Amino acid sequence: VAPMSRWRLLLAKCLDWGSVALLTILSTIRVAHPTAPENPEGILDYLHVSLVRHYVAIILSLAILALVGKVAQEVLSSVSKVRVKAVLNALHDGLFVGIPEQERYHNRVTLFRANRKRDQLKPYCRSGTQYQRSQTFFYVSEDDERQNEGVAGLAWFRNATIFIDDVPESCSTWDDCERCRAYAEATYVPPELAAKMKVRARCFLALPVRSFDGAIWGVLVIDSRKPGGIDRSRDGVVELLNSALGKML
Amino acid sequence: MGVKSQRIALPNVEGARVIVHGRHGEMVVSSSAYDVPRYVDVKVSDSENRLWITFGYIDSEEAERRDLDPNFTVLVGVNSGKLLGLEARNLSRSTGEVVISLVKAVDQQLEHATRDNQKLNYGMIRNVVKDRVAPLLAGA
Repeated sequence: VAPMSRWRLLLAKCLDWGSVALLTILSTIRVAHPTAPENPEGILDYLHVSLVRHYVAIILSLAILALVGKVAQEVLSSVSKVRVKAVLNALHDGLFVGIPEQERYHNRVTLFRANRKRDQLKPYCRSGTQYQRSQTFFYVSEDDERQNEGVAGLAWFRNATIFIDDVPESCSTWDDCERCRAYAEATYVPPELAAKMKVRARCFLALPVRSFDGAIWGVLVIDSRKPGGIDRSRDGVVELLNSALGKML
Repeated sequence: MGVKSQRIALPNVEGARVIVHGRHGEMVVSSSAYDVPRYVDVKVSDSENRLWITFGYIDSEEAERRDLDPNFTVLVGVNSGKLLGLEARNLSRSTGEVVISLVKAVDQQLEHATRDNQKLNYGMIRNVVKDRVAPLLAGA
């Protein structure tokens, strides 16, 4: 099903980009040649006459097509996100067993995706219902490890699974104190970024997510506010679900 | 004389892990499922004096060939850099020497590894060659 969705998504993108490109090209032609030839001779002349005569209708049709392409992209990507979210929720439920309902959101499973320039990891999908609109992103670099932020950045650069536990607790309200600085240091994030975080987890497991051809796509981060909150005896299952995720994307 | 091939399943190979000192205490770095070999194919051609070893993973990464010397070629993943295969030519030596050369070829890759996933993968491959491939070659 996933490759089919990918083709549909590509088609929707082509529709969107094609319509926008045609809109620009036809508008430029219309501005450059506002009057149609009186005695059209070749095919280009006839096309020019049609463009001038039906300009408004053509532009409107292309605008509608571009809109349809955009809507289709939204629908199709949300469909694939629903599938991804189902995997993340399954992972969350499998890892954090017996957690009281009110504490469920203390543990999260988040999939970060690299941007096109491959210098940022942005949240793509998160388990559960809390913190769904997080804008937190991490800078990453493939050349210099020091340029990588967060445990996600470490997993990205090292291209391996990273586990960090017992991170020192920060103050409940962020302050530029020693405790908060120690938290930022231990989690590899700049203090200004740590200050903005709504959740300051203390146990992290970050896994690189690769596509079928071995190229790194993003990073899966499992975190818990509780030290020792991630059960490492289930690493095998986590790794397998993570690789399944890579094949879905 | 002829070509002999055999597949060795590796269901119990666990991902390698190392403990490194992070900024605050210990950090565990382990290989991801993509870098853990699931099987190894060993093919020997007596007539050509050649040996091919191919490692199978859960993904299908394209291979890049790296000639180490006229007798040895390693195949590494173009994106991840993990070891996908080894090719040995002119096999006129004893099995022991062949295994030593194979391990040496893996070690040579280990020296040039730039990422943790490569270092962990090469370590696992080294063990697979010594523990699983060598006995097979000795019995071939």
